[in-house]
Amino acid sequence: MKTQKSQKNTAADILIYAVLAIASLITVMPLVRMLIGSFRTGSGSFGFDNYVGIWNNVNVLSYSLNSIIYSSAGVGAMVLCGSLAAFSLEKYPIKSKKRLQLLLLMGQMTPAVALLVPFFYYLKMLHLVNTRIGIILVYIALGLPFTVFLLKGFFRDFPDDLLDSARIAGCSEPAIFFRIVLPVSKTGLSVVIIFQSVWLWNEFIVALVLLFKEQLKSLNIGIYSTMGQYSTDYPMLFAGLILASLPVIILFGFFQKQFIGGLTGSLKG
Amino acid sequence: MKNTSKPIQKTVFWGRLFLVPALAIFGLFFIIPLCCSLVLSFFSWNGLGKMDFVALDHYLQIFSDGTFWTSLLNNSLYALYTIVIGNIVALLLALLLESDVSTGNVKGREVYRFLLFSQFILSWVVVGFLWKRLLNPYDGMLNIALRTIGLSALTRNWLGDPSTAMLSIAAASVWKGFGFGLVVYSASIRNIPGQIMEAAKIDGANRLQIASLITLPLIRPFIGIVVMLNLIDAFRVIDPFLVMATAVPPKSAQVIGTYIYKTGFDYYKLGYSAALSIVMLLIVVVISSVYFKLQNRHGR
Repeated sequence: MKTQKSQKNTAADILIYAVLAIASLITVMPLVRMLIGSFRTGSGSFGFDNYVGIWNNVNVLSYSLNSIIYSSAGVGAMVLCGSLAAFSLEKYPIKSKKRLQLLLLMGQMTPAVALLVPFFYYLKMLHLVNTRIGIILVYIALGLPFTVFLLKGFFRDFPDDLLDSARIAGCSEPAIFFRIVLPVSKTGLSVVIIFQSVWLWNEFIVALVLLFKEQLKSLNIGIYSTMGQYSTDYPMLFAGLILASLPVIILFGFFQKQFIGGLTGSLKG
Repeated sequence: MKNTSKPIQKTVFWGRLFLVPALAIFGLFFIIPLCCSLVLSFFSWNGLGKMDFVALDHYLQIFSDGTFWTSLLNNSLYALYTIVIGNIVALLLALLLESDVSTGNVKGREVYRFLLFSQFILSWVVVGFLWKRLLNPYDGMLNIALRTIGLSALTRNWLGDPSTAMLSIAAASVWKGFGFGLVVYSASIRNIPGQIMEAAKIDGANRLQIASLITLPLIRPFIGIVVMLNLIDAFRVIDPFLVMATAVPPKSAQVIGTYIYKTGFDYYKLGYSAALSIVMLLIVVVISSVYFKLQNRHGR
């Protein structure tokens, strides 16, 4: 009886592991295909020729620098403004709190696609099309609602008593926020920073509309506009795609926990 | 701990001040463009000449615009494919990933999760080009595989053929996105109190019974939430359809997002594009309000 049950268990074990292994294999296959393909050189051997080729023919360095600027400036400003706003909405008696939250909700729902035309012509009017500051400002505005919602959740747990005793001890409000609240909110902040960095690094449609000057293009847009020429030369194409995803893969490798925390945190509102 | 009124006033002042930077940027670069979109939808404008007031004409026009309805139908099909396939895959794998094996938890659970999830973080530019390559009619991996196993009859121009274009893009989308459901479901299964599972085992429930009668009902709120998020995404999607578009994309691969983009930036019918944007926004708002109701019922 007992052996029969354990046999049944091992059979189930094998099935579980087999399905998981096969599913993982199928999922990873396109990526492995891309990785191997990117090292294939003309004569059937392997080497870094394609990467050198992409590096020489496509402005990878300039595109990457732009992407780094847009992501870091965007996320930095987003987190600074967003954490202040989240703290204020959570811990201060703001009168129109409900209405402001509704506004943010609206911001979270609105698809970027629905704002492309106004973004372009409004920013053109302000002479902000094809400028770094223009796209960064749009990114901040688009990313703020989610940043505020997520950080509000983290600030909610901060004890009010602690704020009051800091006030009695003579701490000013900015000092309370920057010296006491922010330093202990590292977990929440890192979740937001990682999550929004990945989003901005991968952002496509807004950058496509607002940046078409060669020296301002982000890595995504640069790859999008140049890779068409390699559609038949797939080792080169694959090398380009790998180069474009390397930073985000490295970021994810190090901060997997924070990214997934942001993902599941987004469900709690 | 009663504060005098003066410090309270000071506190309120700082609280308001903390809101200013966020509200300023949000107002200038979100609220105003959104209002522009609404206003523009009542005008006819090509971006250069003067604007003609057309009142509600664009909205009436949308109503009888065949391309709009085709696009809406395509969004719905895309939603159906990605939600059904993506969530079945995610649920099944999450149940397996979190199941008990005789040694306790599945060994290498984090490794599996990493392998199954990692493509989620890639951009649509990368995923789109990669899949375009894999689906290439001449030397793409899929057609080569089909030919090798003797199914040449099934090979086709996946993204160019009207009957398979949408399905192909949805397949890429499922591949890229099912990791989201997987991560959410596996986290919510892990949060089920251990006693419930123990009690079920003592009562002699087998794996299938536990999965169908205990685990699934307990994580149902999360399934609802993921499905709603997928639904919202399916109606505002544009990236995969732009990146994977063939030279002349078949009508079956046009969605509202690409229609808005084309009307605005290829045909310069800005007012009409803005009206389409408002309609898309309304669709998303309606779905979202259902979503928030669900979330409030089960959240917190």
